Amino acid sequence: MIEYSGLLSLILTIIIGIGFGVLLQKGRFCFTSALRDYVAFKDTRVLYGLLIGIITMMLGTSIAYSLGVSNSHFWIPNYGLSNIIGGFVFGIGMVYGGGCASGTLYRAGEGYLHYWLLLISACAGYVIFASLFSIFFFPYFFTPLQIFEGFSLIESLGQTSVLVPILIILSCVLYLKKKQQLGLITNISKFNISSISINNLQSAWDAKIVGFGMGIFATLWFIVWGTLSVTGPQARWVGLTYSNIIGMEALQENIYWNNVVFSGGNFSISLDMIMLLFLIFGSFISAYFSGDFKIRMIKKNRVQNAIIGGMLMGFGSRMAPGCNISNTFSGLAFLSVSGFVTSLGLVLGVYIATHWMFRKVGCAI
Amino acid sequence: MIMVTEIEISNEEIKQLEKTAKIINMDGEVCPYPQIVAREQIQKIENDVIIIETDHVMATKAVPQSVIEYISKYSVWKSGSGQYKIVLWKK
Repeated sequence: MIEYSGLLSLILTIIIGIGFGVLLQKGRFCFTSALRDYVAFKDTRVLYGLLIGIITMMLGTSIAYSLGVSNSHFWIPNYGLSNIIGGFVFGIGMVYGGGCASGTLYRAGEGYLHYWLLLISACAGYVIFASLFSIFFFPYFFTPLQIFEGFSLIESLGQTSVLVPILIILSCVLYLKKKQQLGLITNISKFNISSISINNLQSAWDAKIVGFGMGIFATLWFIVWGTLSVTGPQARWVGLTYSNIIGMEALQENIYWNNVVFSGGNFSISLDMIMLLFLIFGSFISAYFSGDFKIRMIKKNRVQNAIIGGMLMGFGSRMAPGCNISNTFSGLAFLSVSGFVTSLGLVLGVYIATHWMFRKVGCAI
Repeated sequence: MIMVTEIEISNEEIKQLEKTAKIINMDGEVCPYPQIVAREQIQKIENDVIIIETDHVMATKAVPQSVIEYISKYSVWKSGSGQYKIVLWKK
């Protein structure tokens, strides 16, 4: 019976991973774009998709939670000023590097060497961070700064948590009705359906319907595994690879790898790690059949963007902790305080980095 | 919010346009550089049409949005092997 459920979980993991890859690729769904392009020229294409995704995940996970999914599936870290600083560093990194944690993965699947280098640099960042953890980050960063106990409104409300997303959706509809913009919703839904027509398989999908799909898949993932996250399982891939170089004993001697990254004491490949691989694969399949796949060389003058941006993302995601997906998607959907404070730092980082990068042409906001 | 329509474009039409348009090659560049260059160039040049050649998938969405207040319509031509031409008609 255990083997059967294990196999089922693996199949679901593969389907969900591919699903995320296809959705991200088809929607050109990128958190950096959602935030940066709004700051730079008030482009709301991905931002609205992101908001729809968060509210869908909030509704989906609260329904699943009230139907009996364990509260251990919520990732609710402690928080403090450390989240703002970590989010800020990550935000700068993702604008300078040109992609968020999820954006880097799906573009790696589209064939970009730039994003493979960004990914490798982020992974190198994890290794450096881990070696500095016990001498610097633990005593001088987390101990004085990460001082509040984690809290998620959805998790703490239990069965009644379903009411929160329903109230949010109702107030959005009422707000649009008051502003007499309900037509906007019907226009959006019409456009959505036509964007996924069968005779047009090669074209992009509307980011709003992709956001909705992301919310559905994140809910499925919540039921199967737990909180949707990218850099957590990524760090465990790095840890396992690194243990092949330095030896497992040396890895276990490091307090960060042993007590934080592999806190469960399980040093084997887990479902969330497999999911990431299939996300890249899903994006590759989608890009290949859409005519978007190409091995793209990295430009010489952009190597620094990938390396520095990746390092900042690697450090930022360890410091917060978490990336754009676990904080600005899952964290906001759980109405978790750490999700909000990390996102605040991230938005601040994006804002400043965008203004610096667009200094010649100026920003809208 | 400014709405600008995306129109379909054929291979023949794009060949015609390439004769007079300002062509900017952005192959190999990723976000946000295509957007920055598009914003920079559209305010400078005198041609009525700008064609941005790119292999960055995201640019097909982000570049038209980045110059939305300067254009009357736009078009995205797809090679089918990861190359794109973004045609921007200046207002």
